[in-house]
Amino acid sequence: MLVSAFIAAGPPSRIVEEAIDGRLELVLAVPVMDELQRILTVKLGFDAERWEEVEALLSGLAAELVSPPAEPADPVTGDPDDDLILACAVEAGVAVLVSGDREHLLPLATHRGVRIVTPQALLAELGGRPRAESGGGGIRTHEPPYEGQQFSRLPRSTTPAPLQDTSRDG
Amino acid sequence: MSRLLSVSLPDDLTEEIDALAQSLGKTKSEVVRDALRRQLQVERFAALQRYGRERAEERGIGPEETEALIDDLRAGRR
Repeated sequence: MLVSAFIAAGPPSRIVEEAIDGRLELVLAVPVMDELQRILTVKLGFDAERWEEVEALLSGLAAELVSPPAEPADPVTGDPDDDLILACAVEAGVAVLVSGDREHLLPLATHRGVRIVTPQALLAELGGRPRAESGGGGIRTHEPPYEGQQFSRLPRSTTPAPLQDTSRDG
Repeated sequence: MSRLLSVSLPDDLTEEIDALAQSLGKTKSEVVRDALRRQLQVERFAALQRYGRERAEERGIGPEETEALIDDLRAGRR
């Protein structure tokens, strides 16, 4: 999903913008960042300096960078790389895993408390949540009880905390 | 480390910042810092996306093809 965000405007890039606005908590996984780096640099030709800028931007936005669990990931999705990403999402205790992968991840819908949704679906959820906006400054606050907790971990039951899956367009 | 930056703001914007700071329980400096940080992230992201779009166009790759890129990458590793 993050690959799409860095090459075109659309739902994936809007997810990143929502994270910038503090409306969701971004949790990234090491294997996701590894794949993102390979695709942007090897497949798309990002130079080293630009990759460092991508990494710095995402690191600044992310509340947490999750490493894979020590034990092997359960074979759940039919793709070991997606299994690893899913294991990271479970390990991090995120509410939502955002993905465009209609073959392996999205069909699961939910796995061990993690909902797997498309960028479009998450945007629809966020759009349904009221928010206060200041005029002119681009400053937004969550409605209570989220006010003032823009980059902290929010309750799983009420607020999406996406773990970005770079691997599929959404 | 921090530096003091003096910025001139119109009255209406200053009043809005005051009101927002009060409602959030933050200082005005915190509100302005948050807004600037966010704006810089927006601009950085937009610049990286422009760069990425150019690289993708050079290679004839559209956003709908990122799934195939992932598949290629993973297939090459296995």
